[in-house]
Amino acid sequence: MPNQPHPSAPLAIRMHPADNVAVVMSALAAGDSLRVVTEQGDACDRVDLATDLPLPYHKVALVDLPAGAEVLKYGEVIGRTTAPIARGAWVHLHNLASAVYWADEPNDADEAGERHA
Amino acid sequence: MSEHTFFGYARPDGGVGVRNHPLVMATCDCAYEEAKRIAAAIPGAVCVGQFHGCGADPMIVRQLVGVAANPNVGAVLLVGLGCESITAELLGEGIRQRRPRLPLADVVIQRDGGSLRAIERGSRILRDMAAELAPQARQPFEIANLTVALQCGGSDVTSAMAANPALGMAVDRLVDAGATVIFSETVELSGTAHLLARRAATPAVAARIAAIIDDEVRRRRITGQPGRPLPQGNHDGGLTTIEEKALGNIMKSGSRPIQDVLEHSAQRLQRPAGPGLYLMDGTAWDVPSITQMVAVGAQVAVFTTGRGSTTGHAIVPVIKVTGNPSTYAHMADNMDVNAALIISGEASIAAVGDEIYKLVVRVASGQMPLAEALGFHDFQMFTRHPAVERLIRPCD
Repeated sequence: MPNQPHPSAPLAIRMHPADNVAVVMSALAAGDSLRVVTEQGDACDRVDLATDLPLPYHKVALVDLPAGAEVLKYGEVIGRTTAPIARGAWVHLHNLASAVYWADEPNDADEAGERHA
Repeated sequence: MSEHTFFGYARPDGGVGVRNHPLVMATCDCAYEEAKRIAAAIPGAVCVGQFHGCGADPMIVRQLVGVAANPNVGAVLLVGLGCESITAELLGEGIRQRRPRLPLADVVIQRDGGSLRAIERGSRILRDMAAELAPQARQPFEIANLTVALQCGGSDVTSAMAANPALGMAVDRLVDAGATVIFSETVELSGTAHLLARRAATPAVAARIAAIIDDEVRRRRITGQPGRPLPQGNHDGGLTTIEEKALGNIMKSGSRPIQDVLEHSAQRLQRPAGPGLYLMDGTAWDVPSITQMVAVGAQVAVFTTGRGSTTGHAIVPVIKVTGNPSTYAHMADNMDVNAALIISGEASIAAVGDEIYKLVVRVASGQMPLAEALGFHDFQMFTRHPAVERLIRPCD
């Protein structure tokens, strides 16, 4: 690992090796340094948060994602990005939409952004 | 007692009850007040009603018959108004076909002289039914006599990380012991047809799984329902899209083959044809979803919830499992199994799965899960609008 964060650093879990997002285990602020581990608990990445992550169990991007990219969790597609997402940024309603339902309609991004701002 | 044995009520006309309810069933919403008074007069009685009008909607009629014929029911008193199309006679005929030896009677408010006389007559009948049920004793039965319903509600990401994988391990053990297990919530399978297809018992079942998921998308588009079919609590709990929720949802079904898709339509209410894992084409709303599975024979339900659902069910005991540490800490009064120990690293998924399996067996033998101990008799029914069904399947 290039930069080993402190062992007590906040944790995110990458549920599958193919995933481009991880689940944070606590609410976090921009600038926090995250320890990313596999489901088995092995360290696999370290990410500095680009945005706040206001709620536990929400998703952080592990790579830079262009708009329209597939987001993978559990090794499966959970939707497509509706805006570019930087590595370390919060992934939620403001930048990710279902690929099954109303994929052709814009997501009501501001609603979620305002609520959690 | 082995861990593969539970104590239940033998039903001479088939099946095994894990409860022995005297059931009061209002045939239509107009008879519900009288039905409630009758049930309130006799301790231990359970009362259900339906609120989809009094026309003989075949989905409602079959569901009511299925609920009354559920092996957890020891006796049935039907309460009708008298001018409805879903009559006590109509339901009674259906119930008799399924459970010919079930004690069954009716009260019809218009026939029997108005509310007070109907309540008096009904209370006397129900009193005698309850008195007859009381001395019946539980006997030992193999787990193969159990049908277990699976439900999730108030889901969050901990459901996918802890509660549902643990339930999935319990489900595998139940199936391996010869039990029948049903999962449902078709909309919450969106995006997972390719994964479920790998577990389908036959190619026809795989095709059917894909078809019911596609139908649900078309149903929602045709009716203009919101494109984000997730409640706010799901979103706050970290679930962004329906696919993300569905990938967590299907974990609770374990890994065993899916024997068939159970149809609930105007034409049919399909019961499991044998043991194993089944998928019901049903609603994702928690209470009516459990009712659908009860109507095809489920005697126990296991319900995973991250945000903290408190619901029980009138006919079946409902075991609550949460994977969320703060939900368990705040709502321990409602949570039977603490799967949050998986999140905190204090228990393995397998250990919690083992706990769920053993609790299912104990609850089948009479132990009350918390929702049942609190007396929560939630009950709702599910139906579909015939016009929408015509639109999604114009050639049927």
